[in-house]
Amino acid sequence: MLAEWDTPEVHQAFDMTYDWDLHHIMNSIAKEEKSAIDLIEHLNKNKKNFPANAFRMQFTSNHDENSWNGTEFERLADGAETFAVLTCLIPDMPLVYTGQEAGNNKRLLFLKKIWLNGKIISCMKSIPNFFN
Amino acid sequence: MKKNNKALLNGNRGGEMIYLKSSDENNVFAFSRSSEKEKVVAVFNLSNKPVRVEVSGETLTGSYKNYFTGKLESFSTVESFELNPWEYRVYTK
Repeated sequence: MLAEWDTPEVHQAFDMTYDWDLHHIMNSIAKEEKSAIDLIEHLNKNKKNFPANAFRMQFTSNHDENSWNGTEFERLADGAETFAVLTCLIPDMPLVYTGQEAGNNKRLLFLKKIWLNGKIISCMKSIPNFFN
Repeated sequence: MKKNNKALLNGNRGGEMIYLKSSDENNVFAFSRSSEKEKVVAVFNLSNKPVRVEVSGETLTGSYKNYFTGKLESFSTVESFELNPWEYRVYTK
């Protein structure tokens, strides 16, 4: 069960929490405000502070970020694909938000019904195959 | 890929993440994860500049397939990588 929250204590009741801190670190690395050292420090903190059986959910976008702060291509620019691969390979649960599997580069209206047809133009070289 | 490689199972069901040492620790993040029979080595250039980096660690050693190109490569405990801006390499076995 997923909590829409990000602190260790909710794992008493929930299996998984959003890792917002890592998400913000990725956004900051793309802006050259943080580095790979901050990423490792954060992953070490996760290991220390969260129960061993906790799942942290890792994401380069979601329903909030895409609508309010921009698509992963706006926030992460050329690093979007790199961070997508990273979030799939570290020992956590990757989140694939609507259209990310096809490289959607549009902001989607918040909680509005949308129609993503086959016309999404992929901005990513290898990601669609990687997710399959 | 996650479905086919047990080292990538989620949480503590998959392989533990072992960091590899990077000579450019500000820009390059590298690690390995292993299950009983499978392994993944990942190297990421987290910068918009090309980098030349030395990556090292006991768990780097082995023969792998580059997941995206299919090329076979063998690594010892220390290897040099030349990475383009934001380039990532994923090796599996």
